[in-house]
Amino acid sequence: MTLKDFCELLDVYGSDLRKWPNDRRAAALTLLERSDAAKKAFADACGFDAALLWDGDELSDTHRQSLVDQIMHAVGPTGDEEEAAKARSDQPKQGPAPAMPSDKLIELLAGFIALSPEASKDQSTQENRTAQFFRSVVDATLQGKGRSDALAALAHRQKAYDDAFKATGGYAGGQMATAFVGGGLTEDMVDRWSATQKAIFDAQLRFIGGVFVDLSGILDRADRERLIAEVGRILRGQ
Amino acid sequence: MNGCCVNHSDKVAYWKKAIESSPDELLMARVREGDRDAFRAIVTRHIDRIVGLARRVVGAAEADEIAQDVFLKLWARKDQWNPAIGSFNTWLYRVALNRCIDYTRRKTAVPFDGTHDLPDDSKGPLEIYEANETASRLRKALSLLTLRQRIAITLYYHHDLTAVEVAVIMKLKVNAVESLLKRGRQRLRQLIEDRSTV
Repeated sequence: MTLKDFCELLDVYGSDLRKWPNDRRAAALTLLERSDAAKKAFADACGFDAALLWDGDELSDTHRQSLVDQIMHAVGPTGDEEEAAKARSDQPKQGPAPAMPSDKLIELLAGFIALSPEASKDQSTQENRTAQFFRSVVDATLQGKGRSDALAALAHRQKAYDDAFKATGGYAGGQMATAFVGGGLTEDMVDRWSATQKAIFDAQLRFIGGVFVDLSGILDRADRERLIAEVGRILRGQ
Repeated sequence: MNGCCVNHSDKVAYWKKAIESSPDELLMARVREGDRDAFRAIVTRHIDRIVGLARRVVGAAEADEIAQDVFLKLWARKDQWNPAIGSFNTWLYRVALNRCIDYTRRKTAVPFDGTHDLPDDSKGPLEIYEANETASRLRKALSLLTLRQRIAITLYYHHDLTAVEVAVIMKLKVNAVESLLKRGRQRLRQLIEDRSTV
């Protein structure tokens, strides 16, 4: 191998001799042993490669985690959720399906301008209705100690919810409508109203979830099955 | 592992570790069945390389977005994964390069914003400055190569692939890749020597 051949091969394969074709690597090593000019060219190539490889690919842990989370979020629901969605879509339609997003939007709008009687009085009314619903289900399905324990758990959760609601201290819907009509509605007011709504919604979710947690510790399997069947029957309007 | 003697969190940790240490091909078999944990392991394992590839071929500003697109495409096409056709790495690189090429074709200029990872702090301040300076100029020089030269150089040097592997990924003959590597490297040297360019 001549020096010219060697330099051309350095341009093709770089200074990492492991990546050279076997036959050329052996000849290159022989040349390197006896040629100072080859050694100089090789050292130059090593320096160039080092500069080329200076930029590592490694991301910071935070950056990597953020990207992975975004990708997993974009991929969509978990397999279980997909199965559930498929099962729902496979079920025969029984009349018009409830338009949940629209209902929720209307509920929020009603809360904003205090249209509904509930919103104009007390926003905890929504929760009260949920508690009433639970109590009616407990009354209809349980007896004896299970019933009394379940009602006690409901009362306990109700207290926790009331405390969370009182802690919000934000804007009620009526105040927003009044400010709007008076021309004084501001982004800051909307922010505070929004924060209040989120806190209330979060407290509602924790109330509902907490009730089920309590009941799962109080009731035996047969009672739990009866209770969940009753909840389903009422929600389906049967 | 004896299932009767371990608690739930131990089992979860055991399976998590098993997933993380599984070869790509095994993970992809599970991804094909919709296993999100396996997909997360694949993404976590390869995201750095794909961001790095996109950063060099397209530019730092768009690299994250492109990497996300690549993995979303991989998930969407998981049914098309066939280990009999080629390695997972080859498939992943092809998806990534196609996305980079699509993006580059839609853009006339490729910006390089100079964003890069923190340097190795075992070097002295002057060495770090000089190495950063050279690396910065090399990044700019890399952006001035033809797209195919840039891809070949990036795969060969930054992803430590051989010329044969690069040829498989780029669907070119080996001598064509060797030509891209040679011309790309020579052009990089010229650009670096000509300080007025980069």
